[in-house]
Amino acid sequence: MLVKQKHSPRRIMLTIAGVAALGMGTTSLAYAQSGSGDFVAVQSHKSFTATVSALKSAVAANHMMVMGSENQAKVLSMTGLHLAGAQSFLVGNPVVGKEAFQMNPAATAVLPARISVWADHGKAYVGYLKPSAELKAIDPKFGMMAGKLDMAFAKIAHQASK
Amino acid sequence: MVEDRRLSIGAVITLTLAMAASSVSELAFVVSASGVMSLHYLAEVAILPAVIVWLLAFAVSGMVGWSELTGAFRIAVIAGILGTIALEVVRIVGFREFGAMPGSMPELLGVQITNTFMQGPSLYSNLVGWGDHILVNGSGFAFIYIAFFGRQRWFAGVLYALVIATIFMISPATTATGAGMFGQNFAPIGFPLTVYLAHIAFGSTLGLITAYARGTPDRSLFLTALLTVMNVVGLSAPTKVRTQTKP
Repeated sequence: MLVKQKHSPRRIMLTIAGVAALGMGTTSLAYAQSGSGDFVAVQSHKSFTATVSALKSAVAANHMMVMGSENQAKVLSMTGLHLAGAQSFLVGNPVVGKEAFQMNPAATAVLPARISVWADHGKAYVGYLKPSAELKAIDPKFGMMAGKLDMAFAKIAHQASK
Repeated sequence: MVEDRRLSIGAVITLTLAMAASSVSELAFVVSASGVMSLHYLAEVAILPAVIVWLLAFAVSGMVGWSELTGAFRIAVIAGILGTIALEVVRIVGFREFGAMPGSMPELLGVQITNTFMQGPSLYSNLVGWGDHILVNGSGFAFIYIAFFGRQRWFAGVLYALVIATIFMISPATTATGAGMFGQNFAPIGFPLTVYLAHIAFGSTLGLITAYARGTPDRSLFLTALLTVMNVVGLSAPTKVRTQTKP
C-alpha cells in the first residue's frame, strides 16, 4: 500500500537522506500526494499501540502538546470496518499558535497540525503532511515558522518510531 | 349505572407531561442530526430532564392509583424493551451480514451523547447509547402508541412502526450519514428493506403485547384526556356512559 502512489525516486532518496542525517535509523518513505511529495511516512519499529504511546511522549519532549485526537479505527468500527489501528493527533503549542494566528487568522485551517499513526499489514507507521506545505499554501509569510514545524515533526516522527 | 369515563385533571396533566417527555429523545436525535444542536447538549438540557419527568409521572400514577395510566407506563416499558430487542436482531443481521446499514445507531447515539465521537465507542458510551435506544426511545415510542391508541389489534402496532420507519428514512438522522433518503445513495434495496423489516419486528412485538397484556388501557387515553379537557372548559357534553350491571 505504501508504494502504490506515484513518487519520484529523487524525492524518496532526499527524504531518506534527510532522515538518515538526523541519525534516525528508521525507514522513511515520502508519499507523493498529487506529485507534491509533502506527505511524510515513517515506518515504526514498534507495535501500533507502542508507537501511539511513544508519539505522545515525543510530542511533549519537543515542547509541543497534543491538543486533540481522533481514534479513527474505533470511530470506523461503528460502520463495521475493523482496522488494526488508525489514530490522529492535533499537535501544536500555544506560543507558535499565537504567533501564527496574529500573522494570519486563516491559520485556523491547518493549525494545530495533524500527525497520525496507523497500522498496515502488521506494521505501524507515523505520518503527516508537512506543516510547511499547508501553511505556505495559506500565506507565504509562514515560511520560517513552517520550516521549524517541519523539523519538529520530523523529530517527533523519528522518536515515536525508533 | 352511569360510569364516569373522564380522567381526573391530575391524570390529564400527568399523561400530557409523560407523552411530551416520551417524544423528547427521538426528536433530539433528529434535531442533532440536522446540525442545530449537539446531542450531548440536548441530552443534558432535554433528554435527561424528560426521562426524570417520565419516571416521576410513572411513580405518581402508581401512588395516586390511576390504574389505566399506570398500566400504560408498565406495558410501555415491557413492550418498548422487547420490541427494540426484536428490532435490533433484524438490524444487526442487516448491518453485519448484508452491509445494509451505514453504521450502528446505538453506538452512534452513545458517542454523540457522551461527546466522545473522536475517541470512538467505549463501554461507557455503548451503555449510554444502548440504554437510550432500548429504554428511552423504545419505551417512549411504545408509550406514545399506547396513550394514543390503547388496546388495538396487533397489526396496528406494525402500521405505527412503519410510519416511524418512513419518517426515520427521510429525516436528517438518515441523510446526515450520507446514505440519502431511503438509503438511495448507499444500499437502495437493502437499507429500506432492513429498516422496514426491523420496524415490523418492533411493531409486531409492540402490537402483540399491547393487544393481549392485561394492563393495556382499553381506550385511547389521549382522546379521553382531550374529551375531559373539552368537558371541563364546556366544549362538549359530559363524557359519561351508561353501562349495564348484572342483576
